[in-house]
Parts: sequence; structure tokens; C-alpha cells
Amino acid sequence: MPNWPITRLSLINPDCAAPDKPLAVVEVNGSKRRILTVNRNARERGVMAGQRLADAKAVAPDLVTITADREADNAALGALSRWAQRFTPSTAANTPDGLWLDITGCARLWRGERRLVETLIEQLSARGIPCRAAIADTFGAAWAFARCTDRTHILPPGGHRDLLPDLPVGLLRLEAETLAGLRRMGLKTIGQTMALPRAQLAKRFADLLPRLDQAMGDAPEAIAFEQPPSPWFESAAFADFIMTPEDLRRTIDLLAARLCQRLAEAGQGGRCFEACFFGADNSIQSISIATSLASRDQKSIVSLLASKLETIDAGFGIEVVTLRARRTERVVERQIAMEGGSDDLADIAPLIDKLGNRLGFNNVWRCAVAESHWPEHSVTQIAAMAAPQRRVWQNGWARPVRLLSRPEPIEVMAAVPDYPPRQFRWRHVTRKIRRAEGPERVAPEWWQEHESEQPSETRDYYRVEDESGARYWVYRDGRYSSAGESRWYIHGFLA
Amino acid sequence: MICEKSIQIARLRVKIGRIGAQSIAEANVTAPRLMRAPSRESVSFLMEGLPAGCIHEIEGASWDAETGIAASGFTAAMLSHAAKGSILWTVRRDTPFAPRLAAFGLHPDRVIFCRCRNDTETLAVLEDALRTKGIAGAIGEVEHATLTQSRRLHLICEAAGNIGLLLRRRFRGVRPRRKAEGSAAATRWRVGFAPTEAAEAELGPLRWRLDLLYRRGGMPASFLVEWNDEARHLRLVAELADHETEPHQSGLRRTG
Repeated sequence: MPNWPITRLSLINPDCAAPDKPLAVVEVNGSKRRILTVNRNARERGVMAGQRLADAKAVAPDLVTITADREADNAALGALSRWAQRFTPSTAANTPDGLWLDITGCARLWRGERRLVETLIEQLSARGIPCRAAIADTFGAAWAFARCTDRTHILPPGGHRDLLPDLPVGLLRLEAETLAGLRRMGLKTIGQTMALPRAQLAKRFADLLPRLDQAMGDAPEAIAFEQPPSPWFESAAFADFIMTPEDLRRTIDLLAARLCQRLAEAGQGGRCFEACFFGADNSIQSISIATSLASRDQKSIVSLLASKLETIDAGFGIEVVTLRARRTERVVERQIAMEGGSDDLADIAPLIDKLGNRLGFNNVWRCAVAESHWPEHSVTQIAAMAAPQRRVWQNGWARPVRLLSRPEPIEVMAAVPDYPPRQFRWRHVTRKIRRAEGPERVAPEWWQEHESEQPSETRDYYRVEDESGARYWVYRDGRYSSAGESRWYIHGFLA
Repeated sequence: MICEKSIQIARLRVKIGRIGAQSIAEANVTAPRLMRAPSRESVSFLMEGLPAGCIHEIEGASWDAETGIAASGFTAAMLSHAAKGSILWTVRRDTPFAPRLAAFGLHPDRVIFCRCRNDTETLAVLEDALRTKGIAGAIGEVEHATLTQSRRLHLICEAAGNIGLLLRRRFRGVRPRRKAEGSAAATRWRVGFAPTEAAEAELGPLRWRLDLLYRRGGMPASFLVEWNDEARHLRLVAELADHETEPHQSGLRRTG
């Protein structure tokens, strides 16, 4: 997007950026003020980017100047990159003035790469954003071809190897210093640099060879995309905006059908599905769901998504709807159980998905045995769909049915040295003990003694019953000592 | 005209339905505690566990109405013989301690816990759970369920053949509703503690005082039962002249 700062200004403030007045964006660097970009009128008057402001004022006295705001420019670029997610999920801003779109696997939705690019340019122009685009195998080649001419280049696979050498070296995303050095050496095209011995080039220009290799596809290049590229992407665009929930649901249904069919053909299933709604007012809303088993069941995916559809505000209408599967994995085909026998876990998977998406997956769990005698640590929470543990606690009968989340101190009357309590007072109520069993001594694990969280005292647990028959699980902290008062706690209720 | 009439009739029907439901509920709550000795039929009914295909309400007695300790134990005991399949237990704040549930016969691999924020959420989760194949039973810790909500649950249970339990608890900070409402539950239990009568100072088997407050097509009754952890079954305790006799002081007062 040439002249991105000017474009942004003309979009947010059409008056100040009227085309019939010369306009320049000025970058202030200490006491130096240099022109960053100019609009067409100013260029025709002879103002150039890189000029000093004083020189420019001499050429065009009525030049309107605006201070550059790089942050706002980059933020606007980020917003534009999210807007472009209607074409492909993986888009990224390429500062200062470009966008990356990884359209791997997405051209199919637009019946060809050319149609995709044309639609993109058309839609951007309609929004008042002039742009140029190129499609190539590598990011570097696409960058170069988008900037070399006004024409839209669509390179065939491998085409960049033949065409790139003819381009000037300035299109290799090099440092200004390197460019100046190359110019001094009289190297103008990429092909000329490629003919030189690599060792010497590497010695002289640090960034030349990596950039060259990236452009040629000999070295990998990582772009920080907002979403990782995924071939499991479907989209539907509407000439007439859709607004009703029924239409949205139908669209989701349609996209899910297409996506599930493709997943089924590849033997894959998705663990996470995300639907994005691109509004006519350029807003983007998304809903996502997760499944506990890799799924490609259109019906369940649609019903999970539909339960969240009400959060979408259609506003002035929805222009594009996209559906994407993240985290795909191979689906193991299950044999349908014969004669009524059923696989428990697979049966309840839809329920877990539904509850997990509604309440949050951390609010649906199963308990499992943990290797600890310490009561609070003897249970761990595992995912509801985790594989069966087939293990059980050995002393469950002597454990309370409800455990207090934290032991609470109680006032106890007990005979010394180590008799169970006669009565105790908890939460302002005194309970007389009739029967008791114990003690059951629980010692902390010695290897955890150094961790401050763990109290290092042993606990003597008693199971006691009061006059009404209610049973409590109380313990004395530490061994009995004649010197100090023993501390007692209630830790749970037996039933 | 016709339309108006039919609307009016429908309204009256709803009104009558409400009156009926209310009177049943009031009878449940305020009925004089004429607890009968359990009949042979109701005993067998208890020993075989709660019947599936319908919902049951369980609540704690006295202060346990808030904590639901005995009620949780009884719930787990009643499900220990439930058919194969998973059990969903919706909790609000505190979770039952899984090792104890395992000792009741609810293996941790079978029990799925689910935390809900309010009654509406709990009941919706119960509906979804009971509709799911592979769920043998679902327990919902609720403060209150309306007649309509319990009817919906009942219909789902009836169709699916699994068991739904409403563990009614008065959560702290939630004011109890003054007006009791009818319920479509097949049985309604109040579970209280009962002191053991074992040899000196030892804890005997766990005892519960069970009040069958309501039973569809049956009479209310009161039981004293013992739970046997090894055999995993309830045993009825004979209450022959086991209770304290009423003090006969009223006559004196009348003459004096």
C-alpha cells in the first residue's frame, strides 16, 4: 500500500487530506524535520520524500504538513490485517506499509488466486485504500513484485527463480547502508549480486545473503501471523448482507458441512472450531468452541456453535462468515459396539463438550488418585474425558464425605495425653462427643518438608460422633507435648 | 368468542393445577409428623435402591439442610447399585470427597463433576445429562426447583430410563423460599443423622434417620437404617421400644 500514512489520514480526516492541496507527512528526528511521504499534488509540485522540510517549503509554500504518527499507522495496519482475515485466517501486518496474507489452501474458495487478488484489491479500493499486490512462493519475492510495478503479479510456482534476478536490488528488503554499498559497487539487479561469490558478499554485507535466500526460497522465513496458517478454512461471502440469526445459523451449517466433508476425506478431526463474522461496519466478531475428542460431526459442531450465536450482534449486517478448524488431529475410527455394549467415554463426549463450552472446561472434571497420604493432596482433578485411571483409594471408608477446603481451628476439651476430644466448639456451636475412633496418624511427606506451603507437623485424625449422630473428622496438629497447648482442627464431615 | 372461552378455560385449568400442586406440597411440609412404621413393601423398595426412570428429592434434616452431609452419603449409597454408566454430580461450592464416594461404590472413573453457578444452570445441566446415552444417573445440588422444572426432568428420566436426584441444599446466603411448590419427584426423602448403638465408645456402622416425606402412590414412612460399607447395602434397624417414652405430664397440668 503505497503512501500508507497519507491513505490513513485521508480515511480518518478527508478534509485535511483533500487531493487538491499539497500534503506532506513530516518525521521529526531531533531538530531535523524530513518529509516521510507526500500526496500526489505535492509530488507534482516537486516535493519529494526524504527532502528537508525547509527545502520543501521553498518549493511549495502552501504545503500542509502533518507530523508522522508511526504507532497510529501500525495500529491501523493491524486493524486492516484483521479485516483481511476474511480471505485467509493467517494475515499479518508488514510494517510500515504492507500486509502479508498466507493464502495456502484458500485460493480454492475464490476459484483461483487471480480472483482472490482481484477481489482484495477491489474491496480495498472501494474503501479508499490504493494498493498493489503480488502472489509468489516466498514472502520475499511477493514483497518485491508487489512493489516493482503497478501491475498485479501472480507468479506460477517456482516462477520467482526466473523473474527475480531481473529486479533491482532495492526490492530485497535490505538495510539502507547495504543498498548504498551495493550501489557503489555498481550492482543494480538481483541477478548481478547472485553471480558474485557468496563468501565475499557475506563478509561485506551481513543482511544481503539471508534476504536473498529468503526471497529465492532457499532459507525459511517466519512471519508472526495472528493465526497460524491452516488449510481447514471455509468462508462464505454475501453480496446482500445477512442479519437474521436463522441466516447466520444456516451459513454456519453450510460451512460446517463443507469443512467436515474435507476433514472426513483427510481422515482428520478438529479439536477447536472458530467462526468469524465480518460485519458491514468492518467489525469482526468471533465465536469458538472446543471438543474433547477430535470431531468432524457436522451436527454436533453446528449445535455447539449455534448455542453461542446469540452473542453475535449482526449490526448492519454480516458480509463474510468464515469457519476454521484449529488443532486438527487424526480421528481414530471407532468400531460401533455390538449387542448394546457401549463405549462409555465416547457416549458422553457430546455432553462433556456441551457442558465444557457452556461452563468452561475447567468446571467439568473427574477425580483421580494422587500418590499422597495427605488428605488434601490425595485427590487430583483430571479432564472429564481423560483415559480411565482404573485406580481407587484404599481407605475411602474412613474418609469424610465432605472435606472442608481448609481445616478450621476448633476449641477442644480432651484428656491428656492423646485421648480423643470430649467436646469441641466450632463456629460458635459446642458439640458433645459420645463416641470416637482413632487416632489415624498422617505424616507429611519428608521430601516436601522444605516447601513452605506444607505444614511439617504430623496429624492425628479422630473420627468422632456427637449426641445427634453427626460424625466429624478432627485432628490434632502435631504430637502431644506436655509443654504447649495442642492445636485442634476440624477437617471434614463423615457420612 | 370461542377463542376467549378457550383461553379462560385454559387459565382455570392452570389455576386448578397450581392449587392441587400447592396443597400436595403443603401437606408434605406441614403435615403432622405421623410417621408410620414402614410397610413391607416400602422396605423392599428401600433396600433395592431408588427406582430408575424417575427423579427423587433428597434433603438434609435440621442444620444439615445447609451442608447436606448425610444427604450426600445417602445419595451416594442409593447410586451404588445404579446401572453401568457414568454419573454426573453438579456441585455449587464444595465438592464431595471422591475417596469416600469410591468407598460407596462410585468409582472415580465413573463420576463426572460439574460446577454450576445457580439453580437454573444446574437444572439445565441435569436435563442435558439425563438425555445423554451413557449417563446412568445425575445428581443436582439445587436450592429450589419449580414444578415445571421437576416435571421436565421427570419426563426426560422416564424416556431415558436413568435416575435423577435433586439434592436440595439451603446454600449459605440464599434465603429459603417461603412458599413450597409441588414437585414431580417420585419420592422425597429427608436424611438425618442417628446416633450409633454399638459397644462402648466405638463408632458402629453409619446410621441414618430416613423420613420418606412423600412417595407417589404410597404412604410416608420413617426408617432407621444402617449402612454397611463392606456389603454396600442398607439394613433396616428394628425400632422396637427403642425410643424414649413420652413423659406423661400433661394430665397433671390439666388438673393443677
